[in-house]
Amino acid sequence: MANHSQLGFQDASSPIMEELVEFHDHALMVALAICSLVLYLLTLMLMEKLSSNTVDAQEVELIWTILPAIVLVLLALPSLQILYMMDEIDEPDLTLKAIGHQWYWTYEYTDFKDLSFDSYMTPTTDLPLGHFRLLEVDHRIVIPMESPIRVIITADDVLHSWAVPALGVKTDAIPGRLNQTSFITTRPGVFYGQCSEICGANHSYMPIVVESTPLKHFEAWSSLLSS
Amino acid sequence: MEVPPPFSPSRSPPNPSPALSVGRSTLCTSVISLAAPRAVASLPAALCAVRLGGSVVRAAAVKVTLTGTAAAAAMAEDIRTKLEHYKTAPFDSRFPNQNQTRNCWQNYLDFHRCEKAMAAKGADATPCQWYYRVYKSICPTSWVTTWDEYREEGTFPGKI
Repeated sequence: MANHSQLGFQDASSPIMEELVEFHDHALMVALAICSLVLYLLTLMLMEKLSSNTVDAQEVELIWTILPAIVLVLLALPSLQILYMMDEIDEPDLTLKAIGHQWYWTYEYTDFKDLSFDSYMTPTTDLPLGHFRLLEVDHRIVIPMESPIRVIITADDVLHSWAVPALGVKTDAIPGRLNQTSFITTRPGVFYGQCSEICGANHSYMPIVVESTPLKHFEAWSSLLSS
Repeated sequence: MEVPPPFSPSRSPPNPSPALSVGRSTLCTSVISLAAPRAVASLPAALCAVRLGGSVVRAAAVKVTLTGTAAAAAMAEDIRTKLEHYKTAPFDSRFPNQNQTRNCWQNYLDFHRCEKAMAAKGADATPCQWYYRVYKSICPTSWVTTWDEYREEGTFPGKI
C-alpha cells in the first residue's frame, strides 16, 4: 500500500507494473533533460548572451525540429512496446469476477464451484491494531501467485473502477458490460487498491485487497470457502 | 437437412453434430464453421488455415465426410478430455478485446441452443457442457439467474 506523503509508485508486483515503472523512470529522465536545456537557454537569454544579428536561421531551425522528433521517438517506442505487451494473450489459470456495488465489491470464483462473497471495508472503529485505515476489508480476494489471472469486472448499479496500483491494474466497472483485465503476481503478498470512479457517498470506502499466496494455500482457502 | 447447432470457432471447439467428421484437426473446424455455419453437412472440402506459432499456415485440404457413430464417439471423447482438463474459459479469438460481454452472452445462448438441439435429436448433450463451463466462468451469477428467470417466463430476448 502507499505510505503517507509517498511520491513514487508502490513496489511493482507484476511484470507489467515493473515495465511501467521503468518506462516512467525513462520518461522522467527525458523530461529532466528537456527542462534542464530550457532552463539553461532561459538563463543565457536573460544574461543577454543569445542576441544575434542574423536573419537566416536554417541550421538552428533544423536542430529544433529534428531534436524534438528524436525525443518523441524515444518516448513512443517503449510506450508502444508496453502497450502491446499488456495485450498479449496469456491463457489464464483462473477467472475472477469483480462486481461493484454501492459501496462494496462482490467476488465470484465460478470455474468449478459457485464460490462468491462480498467484500466490505473494515470500519475504523473495528480496525485491529496495526491494520491499515480505509484499506482493510472483511474478505480479501485470494489468488495463487505466479499464475495468470483473468479478472472480469462489472457493476451492479453505477460506475465503479477496480484498481490495484501494485499490480498495474485499473479497469472501469460499467453496468451491463464485462471488462476483462489480467495480471500475474510475481511474489506472494497483500496488495491494496481503492475504487477509482466516483460512485456516491462512500466511494472512498470500498477498497480492494488482493492476497497472493502459493497454490496450495489458495486451494486450502477455496476448500474452506466452499464448505 | 438438419441444421447443426452453432459451434464456437474458438481454439477448442466441440462439434456437437454427430454427422460430421473433419479429420483430426479441431482447429480446421473453426474455419469451416466460419465459412458456412449452417450448411456444414453439405461442404464438400475446405482449405484449412491454421495459426501456428504466429504465422498462418495452410494445411492440406480437409476432406469433409458424413460419417456415423465412430466419428461421433471420437468427438465425444475429445470433448470429455477437454472438459476434464478444464481450468477456466480459454482465449476466444472471436472476442479478443477488453469487452467480454458478448462472450458471456454467446456462450449462454450456445449452451441452451445446444441442449435444445440435442434433446430434439435424442443425442448425448455432454458436448454442450463446454459452453456451460465457459459461461459459468465468465458471466456474473446475477446475470445468469435473471436470464434463467426470463427463459422460464418466456420473455428471454435471445433466440434459443
